[in-house]
Amino acid sequence: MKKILLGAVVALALATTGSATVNDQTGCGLGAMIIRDNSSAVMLALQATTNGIFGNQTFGITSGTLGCKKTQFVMNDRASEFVASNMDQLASEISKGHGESVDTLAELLNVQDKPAFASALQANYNKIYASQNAKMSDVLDNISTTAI
Amino acid sequence: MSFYEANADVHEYQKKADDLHLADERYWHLLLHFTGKESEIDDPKFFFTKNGKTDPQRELHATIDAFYNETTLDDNSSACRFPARLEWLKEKLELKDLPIVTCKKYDEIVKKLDPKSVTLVFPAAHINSPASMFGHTFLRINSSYNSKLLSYAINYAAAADPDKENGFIFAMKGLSGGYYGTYSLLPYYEKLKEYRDTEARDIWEYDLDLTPDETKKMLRHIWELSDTSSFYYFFTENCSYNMLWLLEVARPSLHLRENFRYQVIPLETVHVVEDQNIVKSKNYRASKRTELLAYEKVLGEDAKEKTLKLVHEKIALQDIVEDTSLSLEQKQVVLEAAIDLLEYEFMKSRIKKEEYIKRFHEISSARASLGKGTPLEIVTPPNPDNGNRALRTSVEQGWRDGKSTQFIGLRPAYHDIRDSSIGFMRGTQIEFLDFEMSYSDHKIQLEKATLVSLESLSQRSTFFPEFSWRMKTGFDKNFMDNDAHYIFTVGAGYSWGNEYGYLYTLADPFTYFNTNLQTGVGGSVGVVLDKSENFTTNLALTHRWYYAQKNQWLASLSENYRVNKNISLQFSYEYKDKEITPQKTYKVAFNYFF
Repeated sequence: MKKILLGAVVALALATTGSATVNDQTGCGLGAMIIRDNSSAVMLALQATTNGIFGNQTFGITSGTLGCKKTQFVMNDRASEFVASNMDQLASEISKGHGESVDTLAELLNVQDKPAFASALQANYNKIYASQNAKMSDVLDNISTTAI
Repeated sequence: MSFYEANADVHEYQKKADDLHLADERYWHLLLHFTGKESEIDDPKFFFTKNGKTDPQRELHATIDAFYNETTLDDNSSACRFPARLEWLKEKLELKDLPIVTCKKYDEIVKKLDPKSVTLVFPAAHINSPASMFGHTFLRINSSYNSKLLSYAINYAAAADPDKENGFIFAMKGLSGGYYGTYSLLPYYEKLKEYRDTEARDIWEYDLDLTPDETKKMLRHIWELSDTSSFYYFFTENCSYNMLWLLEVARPSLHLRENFRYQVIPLETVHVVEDQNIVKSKNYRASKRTELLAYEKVLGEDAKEKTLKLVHEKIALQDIVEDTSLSLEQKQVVLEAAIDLLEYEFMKSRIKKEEYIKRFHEISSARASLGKGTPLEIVTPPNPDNGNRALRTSVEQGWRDGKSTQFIGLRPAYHDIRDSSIGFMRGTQIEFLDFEMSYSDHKIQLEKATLVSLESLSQRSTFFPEFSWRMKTGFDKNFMDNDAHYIFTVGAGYSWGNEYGYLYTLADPFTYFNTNLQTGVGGSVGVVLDKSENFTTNLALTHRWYYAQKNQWLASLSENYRVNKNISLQFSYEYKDKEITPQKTYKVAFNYFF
């Protein structure tokens, strides 16, 4: 049995392309989403195949805002954490004017009218993301001053 | 009162536990992951006594003892580390005057997770990696928030260090139990980033009818496991299997694990859970890739090309915004698709982070200024639970060169491209240990014994110009003589498709391991028509050039009729050039999956 599996794995390793392992980086700005590093094709295939994980996904509830600048106006840890970990997803949904992350943020900020909130965010995109270097604290504070 | 002085009689409680036969109760065995012979937990930290792994009664006594003789009253106390055991023993034995402990970490987790219900999550296959069709499952613990993004995922996986291991070692160790499996708890959005976005796998969610109370029970037990590790076995004691333990702890009347003997294929756990009627509702989340393919459809040829050019900077953003040939709606869609594609390219490391952020910001900003649009519609594909079960048995009546021939086949896993693709990713195949025997003229013969066969026929599109590949190793009867021979082949090519079906062309170098090696290369074209829900037509034509200057044609045509989820009829014709006369086989097959 082991030999068979060995064959399978080797063959798979030979025959698969794609790339890389997952590098779990959260940050405070755009582009801190999960990205791949440039290691081998084989790893991804094996990872997907064997349900393994690389790196240390831990058991625990880290805040996800470590090292981020604090918000000035919004005192909501859960919202800070959510925004810090979903910067890209949120920016893209705000630009489109709808999405699950926008709805989630509305719920966290106790905003009742979600469609109106989404529209307000979209209309104020350039104020919320004043620059490409906008950080979580800027985004959340700007949201509180423009869309709520 | 000092906590060192146990003012209740531990022995009395132990005796009461014996009188009640608590050590024989199913729930106690579930808490210990005890399977009748021993516990599947390999970590000594999980037990209070050395024999705990094999002796539930002794472990029960030791647990009672530990709860009354705490050496510390904080997070490291026995009561804080084993809240499920504590809760159950308190209830069964009416434990009194237990030392008072403060469980800061555990309380924090319970507060943050706010456990209300449970969802079984299945990330489906990953394109170009058919082996991932085996998939993965994990549990999501839903809170009282409406947004599911705020729930937490409990995941079990082999922990490996990529800096220290190469892929081959990882695979070998993963299969043979060389890694420790550990649990992790992460926000669900992190899991979505990992599977839905980075790995581009569609996500299927199955909401279970567990009550808040049962969910809380489960979380207590998860906490007991948080710090322990066990050997991870890819085929048996894997991610999906361990989720079954958790569900049984939540509701002990569920019997899930006993449906599995030899291997636990993740999708099979979905079938088993459904058989128990505990699935309340189902939900689909399209992967980034699926979303982009849906954008391709909405865009149309011209706009699609423009989107690609925009992402690759062959056209300026301003030109799109000012393009008079595009309507406002089209511009909205072009920019939305561009944002998604840009993200995808970034996740694949095809563009640098600085570049990505700059362009992402520009395009998002431009999109926002175009105002409200129509949300992209994505059609939910057939649920994987509509796909056939893993194990296939076949009975076939055939006529080979005019002679009546009977065939029987057995394939433990899993799917091939001639089967109905309902519930599976189109163009993917994964077969393990596919056996077929034939009977004719009072002779029994081996027809095939495939060890592994994988195919990934990934249909090319504007955004995803991917290639296709396949490999096979095992015995087949496609060689020039009439016997089964061992072959190893890996090939690559391209595939294109539309709603009616797909076609492919591949070049497959191969080697037969006969008394002397016979090498060659095959060129194939094939068509698969799968528009109809119940009929799948498959046509394949191969020409082989052998190094030893032989040539050979192989052709096959099959029609698969899906009677229901687990029964299919297949009519096929095969033509094979042989050294003397060509061999022609007609077959009618009855397939049953379970």
